[in-house]
Amino acid sequence: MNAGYGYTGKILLVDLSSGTIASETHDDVFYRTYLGGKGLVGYYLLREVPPRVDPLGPKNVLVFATGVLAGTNMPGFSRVVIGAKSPLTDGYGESEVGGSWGAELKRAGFDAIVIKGASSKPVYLEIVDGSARLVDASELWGLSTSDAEAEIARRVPKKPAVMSIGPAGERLVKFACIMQGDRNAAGRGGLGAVMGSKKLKAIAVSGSTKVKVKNPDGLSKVTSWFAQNFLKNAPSVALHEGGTAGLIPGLQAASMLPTKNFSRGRFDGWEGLAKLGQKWLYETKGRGCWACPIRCKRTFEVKDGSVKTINGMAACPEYETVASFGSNLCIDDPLTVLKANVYCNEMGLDTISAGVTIAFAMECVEKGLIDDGDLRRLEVKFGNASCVLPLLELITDRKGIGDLLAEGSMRAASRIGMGAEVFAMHVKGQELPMHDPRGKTGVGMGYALADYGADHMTAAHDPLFAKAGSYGLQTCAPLGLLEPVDPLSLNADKVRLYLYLEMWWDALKCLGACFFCVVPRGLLPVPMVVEAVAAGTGWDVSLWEIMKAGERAGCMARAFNTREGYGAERDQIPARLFESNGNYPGISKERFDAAIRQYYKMRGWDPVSGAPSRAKLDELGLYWVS
Amino acid sequence: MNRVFRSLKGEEMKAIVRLMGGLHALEPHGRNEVTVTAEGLTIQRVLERLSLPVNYVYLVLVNGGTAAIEHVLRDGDTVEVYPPICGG
Repeated sequence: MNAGYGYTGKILLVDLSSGTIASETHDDVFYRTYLGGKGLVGYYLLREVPPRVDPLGPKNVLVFATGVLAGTNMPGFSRVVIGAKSPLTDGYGESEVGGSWGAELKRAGFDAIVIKGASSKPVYLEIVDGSARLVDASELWGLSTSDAEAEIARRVPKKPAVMSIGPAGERLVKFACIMQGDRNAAGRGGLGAVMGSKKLKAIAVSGSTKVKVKNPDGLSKVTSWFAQNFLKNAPSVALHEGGTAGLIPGLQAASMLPTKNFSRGRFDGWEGLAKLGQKWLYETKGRGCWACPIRCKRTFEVKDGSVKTINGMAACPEYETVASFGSNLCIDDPLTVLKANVYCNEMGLDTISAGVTIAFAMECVEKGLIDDGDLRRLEVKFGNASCVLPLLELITDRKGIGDLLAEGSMRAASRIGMGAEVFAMHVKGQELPMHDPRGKTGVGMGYALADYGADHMTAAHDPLFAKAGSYGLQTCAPLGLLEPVDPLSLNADKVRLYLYLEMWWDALKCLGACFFCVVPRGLLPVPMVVEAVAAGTGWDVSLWEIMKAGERAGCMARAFNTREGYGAERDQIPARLFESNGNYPGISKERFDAAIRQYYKMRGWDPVSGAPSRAKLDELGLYWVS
Repeated sequence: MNRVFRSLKGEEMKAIVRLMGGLHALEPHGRNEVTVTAEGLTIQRVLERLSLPVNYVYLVLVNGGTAAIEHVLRDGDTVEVYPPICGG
């Protein structure tokens, strides 16, 4: 059995159909192979989910997994990776979330939770210091995420961290999210709908056992260094002061602010939206995740009753939300964006997919492809701020046009027909996040290749590597990234850059690490990540081993999709991105497709189907994966 | 030749440099807005004088329009300097 350093060695297994709760243990070899986070998600989804099951049926499995440093003092390493077969993509689904829940789970004695089956009535899972039980949640069904959390917190003696779904998840909105607290969202993949399909309202965890660390002095050395230096690091300072909403001016300046459903890269009303990252109507405070001094999650002290507050505070929208409800809808009113954000968090909707689906509806109205009473009554059109909240309500309630939009843009487009598909900005069914790949082609590769549908968090973005001596190149030399690569190129150097960065980020996802804390997006250097893992676990671990874990996790996710019957044909970005955004030319489709094929070859995947080769699976020790 | 720009009244020419996206953390005094004497200097030279690592700069705007780092400042220019624009 394991020595119990860094990880607990215990995985909680919950079967909601039978109501049974058990656990299984794993040894050092298992943890060094799969590491945690994304690695554990991939392992359990491949092992437990039969091929081609209904993502919203009882045979789907929902996994919550932490990394080997979760619950320690390591800043940014207590994130949780949640996975299931996604109702948006019908394939591997994944979303990460910060907060304190991951740390609590570790301190309660578990590295991960694997949830099978479906309950016949609403329940929540309560885990307190090594014991777990299912509790009737009939009275909580229908409550918003924060109300459910508050009610559960009243029932648990020591204040728990709570993951919960809102009414959107209960009603199986395809892009429903899972919330932790009022501001931490596992937004992507529609995992809130999976939780809703299982009638699982929430998971409350409370733990008081300190996570055992092999070399506490070694870990303290890293955490102290971080605390002393993060305010000297430009990206960390930007996040500390303005949160991610502070990105608006830069993306406008760079002509990469998604506008009018990704047809443009600049938005005339950007200054209104930029207020959300600055000093504005309301006083702001920084809020942070477990052990993290950056505290990038700003909150507004709203005293005028404009939006629902929790202890007088309302979460400031993240950049993604500001752009998806702002520029991409041609809306410049920050209060509308703030209200939409609070509403989505309360109801449990992914703000990215919700905003992009509304943009899709607006464009369909503009092009005369849909005519509906709700759309006319609400005057759904680009620039009309007053229609956003009522549309979100219809989506959450699955009423009228909301029932169609609750299916996400890909399925709505397919039902509308008449060419509406070209206005649905998605990859594999998941809506595009708020970064324009026309100005950074590696992000486009990430959108196309992400095993869980379009996402901006598959790899660090190209601008960091544009110039010799840039921050990205200064910090990523240990990854073998030594020379600048043009952000607009799609040559072999770009493919290699993307591939190495993706493997690094997959490795960080296995560690449950926040990209804002680690190079090249944050401060912590590559060698110190390795040092921290070694100090936490006692392993003689190397960067090679950690990178291999990242590659393995990426390969498992891909293998899951292969088993579901798809591959290269769905690694496509929307055709609109092959056209100009007004400032950047469109991406060359021919060069883009060639880059994707080259990526498969570099990864040891089949160059036509995009499936991992037998040799690659074997090289990664994945003999058991078919 | 070190040219000094002066207005018709002989006053020194000034430009405002805004350090965006956390770059002020790298400025020795932590200032996010600096008024500089526009002595016909390039933006690169001004950033060097402010001890800012030029290689960290991804994008420069002068009076709202994109400019090269070799741009020579003029009286009244407002300069915005951005680090790489990344995800989040």
